[in-house]
Amino acid sequence: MLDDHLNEFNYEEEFYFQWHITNGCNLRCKHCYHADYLNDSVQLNQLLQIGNHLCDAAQKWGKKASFSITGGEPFTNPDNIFSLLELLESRDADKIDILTNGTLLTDSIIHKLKKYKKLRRLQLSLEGLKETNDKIRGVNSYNRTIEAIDNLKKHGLIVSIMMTVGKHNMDEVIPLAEELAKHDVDVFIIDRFIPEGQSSELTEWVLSQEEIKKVYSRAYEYFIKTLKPRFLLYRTLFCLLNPDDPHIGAICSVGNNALTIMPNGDVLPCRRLPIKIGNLFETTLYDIWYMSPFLWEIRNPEKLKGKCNHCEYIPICRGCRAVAYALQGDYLAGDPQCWKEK
Amino acid sequence: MKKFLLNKQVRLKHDDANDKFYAFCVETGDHFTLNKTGYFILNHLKEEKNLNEIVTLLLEEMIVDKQAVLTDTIHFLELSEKNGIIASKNS
Ligand code: SF4
Repeated sequence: MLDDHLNEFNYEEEFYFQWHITNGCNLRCKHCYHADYLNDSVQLNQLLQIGNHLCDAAQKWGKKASFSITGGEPFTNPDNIFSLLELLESRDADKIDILTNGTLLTDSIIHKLKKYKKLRRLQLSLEGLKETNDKIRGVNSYNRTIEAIDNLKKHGLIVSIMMTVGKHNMDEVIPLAEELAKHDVDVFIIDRFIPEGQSSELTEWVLSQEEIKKVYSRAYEYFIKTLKPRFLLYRTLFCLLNPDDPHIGAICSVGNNALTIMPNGDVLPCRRLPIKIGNLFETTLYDIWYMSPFLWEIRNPEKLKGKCNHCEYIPICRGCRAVAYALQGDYLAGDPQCWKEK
Repeated sequence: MKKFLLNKQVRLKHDDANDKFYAFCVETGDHFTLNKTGYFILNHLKEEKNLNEIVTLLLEEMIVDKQAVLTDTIHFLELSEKNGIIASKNS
């Protein structure tokens, strides 16, 4: 059905860092998980110090370091991002993605990006077709993003699009995928909407179990039929659609092989799970990874509650701990959107 | 007699879910798997102790052959020191 090389996530070999290098952003999207956009005073030398430390840690653990660099909007300070790209290339990071809103990508920036061999792709976001997207991300942002996609593709860069799916846009997943195919977008990623940060009031957007099943089933059907754009379905719950398909589904990476670093050095288990487990200006990543009581607790599948406790899919799922935390107030609770049991 | 002390940067962890024991150096990232006895010894080395004191504690804790405990403890302490888990000083 699919070549093995499409299965790009290897939990055994990889350590994933989602690294927010700034809080500053030129947009104010309704559903953003950021709670504030204060431009931070983090200095380039501090970012470089963190970057070196993350590379050291991955090396120590014998893992390939994979980075998603983001913000806020990372291109609010292009000098910083290019210095970090230089560092990560020189430290032999395995792959680097940049998560950006795309609006600040000038021709000269795109041109410069092309030289980085470890830069796997640029990830932009759309929340549906034009009308829906612009209600969330601001007037004309759909067109601006499409322009950015076309420009990146013209320069031969790989582009992925992230869509955060809730009740408000669930019927636009496939229509958006079809639109993106016309613009040669390489990869399409969907993730569940979680009410937090800016969007903590928008609880009415949260998908029910039946709705998420419908969205994921349609995405899986599309994924089987076409590779344009390629849907990345390495997410919890997808295993329910076909537990035998190794190209879909993924165990929640929290506590296993991923961490999020915030601009002020705070470390979170996942960007969508806003529980601080340490700070890199106060201690080392090793101290956090080895000693955080939170991480030890969440690594232990026996601690999972509700439907996730003793579920046969624990080795390939574990539910989304961030969804459990946002909707149930307990990161160990059964995944409330899982349709396996009511 | 030589006294031994756990290094400041080393943290000990008992993972009760899997009943595993570890020593972690939070400065260098080095990590070591221990057995229950190794964990017991290192835990006691959060305060300085000499060989006799360690062996006495072990004998109080487990019914074992004194000579075997002595030999094993000396070997364990040498290995731990070599790997930067503990430091020693002559008192
Ligand atoms: S019950 Fe939990 S572990 Fe099982 S499939 Fe549902 S979310 Fe995944």
